[in-house]
Amino acid sequence: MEMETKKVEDLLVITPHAKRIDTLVAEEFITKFLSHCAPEARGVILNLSKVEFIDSRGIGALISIFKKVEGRGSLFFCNVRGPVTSLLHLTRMDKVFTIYDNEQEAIQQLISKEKAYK
Amino acid sequence: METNESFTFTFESRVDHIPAVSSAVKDLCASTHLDQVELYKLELCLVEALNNVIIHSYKNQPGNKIEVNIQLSNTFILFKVFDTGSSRSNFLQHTSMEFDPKDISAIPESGRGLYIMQECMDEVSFEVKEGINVISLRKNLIHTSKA
Repeated sequence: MEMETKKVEDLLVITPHAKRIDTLVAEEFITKFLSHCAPEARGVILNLSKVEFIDSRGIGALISIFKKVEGRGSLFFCNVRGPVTSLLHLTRMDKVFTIYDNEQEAIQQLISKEKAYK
Repeated sequence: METNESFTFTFESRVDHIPAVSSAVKDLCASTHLDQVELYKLELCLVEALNNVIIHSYKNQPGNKIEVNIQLSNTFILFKVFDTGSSRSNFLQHTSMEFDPKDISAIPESGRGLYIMQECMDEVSFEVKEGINVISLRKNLIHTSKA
């Protein structure tokens, strides 16, 4: 699974180039995400614009990386497609994850949060 | 007038086969009036059933047979998944999504498959007939107000 990463100020934006996060690739997704996510990165945005399908194991993978990043900073989500949003709502993960419509909005909100924290 | 079509897919018990099968089934279901979110949920439920068969019935062992039958009509969509692995007496055990969203460490990372099927489909059942496990997932098309 390919992942695109870019740095914006002190933040990291990670965009998986995968149509599916499911049982087949969930472990690979976790491993690659964490390998791209430097330990010092406190603010991380996961851009899900390419992801069309997530199953329950994929949700488990998102929870897994969320727990790891939230232990030291913040993980925001953006560009979540409508069907995937419906799954996050169904599983009540929309009450846990912070989700923004687009990357720019997520970046601005995370920068504001980090400044308030400092 | 009532129309009824039936399709069957047979494949080996490997998770890397699931995306091709579930995508093909979703394409078949696209002939109904369901929107993209509803089609996604149908595919998702089939994927969860197939995951359950491969992981719990066949214990992740390849080389076993899975058959998926799809019935499409004006009034319902019915998926039946057949396997000959271990029977699951707890398949229909009630599952809940109750958790404290603020207690992140306590949020479970698994155990949502059956909950998803029960929430998205109108009927979910499991039975064993002559040594064959059968998962049935039915979606009524008269009303689609369920989650």
